[in-house]
Amino acid sequence: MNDLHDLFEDAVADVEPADRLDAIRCRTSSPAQAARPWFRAAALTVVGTAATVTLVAALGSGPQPTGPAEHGGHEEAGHADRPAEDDAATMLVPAYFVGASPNGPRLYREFDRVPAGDPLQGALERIQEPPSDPDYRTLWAVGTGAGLALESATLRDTTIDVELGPIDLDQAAPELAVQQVVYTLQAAAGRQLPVRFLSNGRPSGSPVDAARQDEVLNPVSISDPAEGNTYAGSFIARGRVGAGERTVEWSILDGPDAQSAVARGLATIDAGGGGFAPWTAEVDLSGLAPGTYVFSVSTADVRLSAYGPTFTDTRTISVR
Amino acid sequence: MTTVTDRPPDSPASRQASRQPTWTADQALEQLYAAHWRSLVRLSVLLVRDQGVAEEVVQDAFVAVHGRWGRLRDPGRALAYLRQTVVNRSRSALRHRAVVERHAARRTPPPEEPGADQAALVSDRRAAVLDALRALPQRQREVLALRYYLDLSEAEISDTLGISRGAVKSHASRGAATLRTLLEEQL
Repeated sequence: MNDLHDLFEDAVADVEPADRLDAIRCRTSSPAQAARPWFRAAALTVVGTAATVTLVAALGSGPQPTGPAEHGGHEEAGHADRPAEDDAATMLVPAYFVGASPNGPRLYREFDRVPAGDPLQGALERIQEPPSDPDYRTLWAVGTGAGLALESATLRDTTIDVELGPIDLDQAAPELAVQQVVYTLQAAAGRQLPVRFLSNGRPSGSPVDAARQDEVLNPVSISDPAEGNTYAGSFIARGRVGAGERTVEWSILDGPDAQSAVARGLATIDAGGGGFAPWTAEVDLSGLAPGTYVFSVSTADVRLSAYGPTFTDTRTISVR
Repeated sequence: MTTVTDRPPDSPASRQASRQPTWTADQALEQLYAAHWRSLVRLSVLLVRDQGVAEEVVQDAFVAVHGRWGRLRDPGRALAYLRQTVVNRSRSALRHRAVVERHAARRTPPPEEPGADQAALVSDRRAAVLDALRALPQRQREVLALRYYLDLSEAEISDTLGISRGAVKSHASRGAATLRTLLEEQL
């Protein structure tokens, strides 16, 4: 009876479902389970450094990335292991930000806690604020007084509509900035609908589909841990890796410039289809002194790296 | 190629049988997602034909299993519950014609590798199998998908669908016979 088995396998072999872990996590994140102290700390940082951060309103003259260097104080505050209070009033949203890669700027995903409300609107506002990870930046910098560049997001039957603030999309936004919005909103909605930009209620150009993942996403990314998480003993790291990559190596880096690996291992990749695949790794922290480290993943085994560029993603973590 | 294990993160495989898993609902959800998201969506596509509907059905099933983790507490039982939920929700999705029609109208993404004639042949064959499945009575379609796509035993199918083993056997044989007739050219 193997013929039917083969036929059924083949009939759906080209079905490559979109990654909906973001949407599922958003729907299942209850305040008690998803308490993420780092968010509160990061939010405080934004307020605390507002005076020193150059918030860019100049979208009309081309987006000015707010570089990590401008977010002084992020690191210390991000590591604060504060107890979370009042989390009932917040929710988790997926938010894509821009970071460097050997192939030029690419999108990376964070899960960030925002005030409870409509997930689409929460995610839209989140990407107009600085990311939690200082390695990233947003192409939709917070305006000073000019209001938000992206005002509101609404789920329709066949599109996700975004009402623009006082900007000219064609002049303001490079392709990757538009994709930052598309990826974020599709993830928050859990649906792959094209995004339609509206200006004063009138469509500004055609609806935009998500670009291919391999064109805009970094080939490897970390979903967990979040920036600044604190762990004791061990933790499970998770993320996604592009179809072309066969190895994800993780390491815990220490030292003044996070140059020396004090632990390393290989992640398990759930390969088997096209598209991006999930990876997981159990990271044992025993033997590490309490303190701050960098958790890093890269696509090539650095000891054998002879082929092609190595892609990485990093998170700062604390060990108790 | 490696796969994500079903082993709880803090419990050595050797002791797994004698220990209660210590996964939280979030950990369980992520492990199940990593290991089964794709195959459950594919299962649902066999049942409802439309990938958009299938993704929504399975997404809802994952949310449901997360909410029920306190009672399931075991990856094997959680997977059984997931399968059952996917089949039940796929059935409801089909009942709501409006839903199906709306998604059918949605544009489907262009095929990734346009390999000319060869690709067209393959896609015809796939469409023929999905069409033939749609032509079967619902129970037969469910039994066949569980039997031949997920490779479940009669007992597992009987549990998943809440029908007797005898009924599983008869749906399987009748469904397979009809399918073979419909797909004579492909087999």
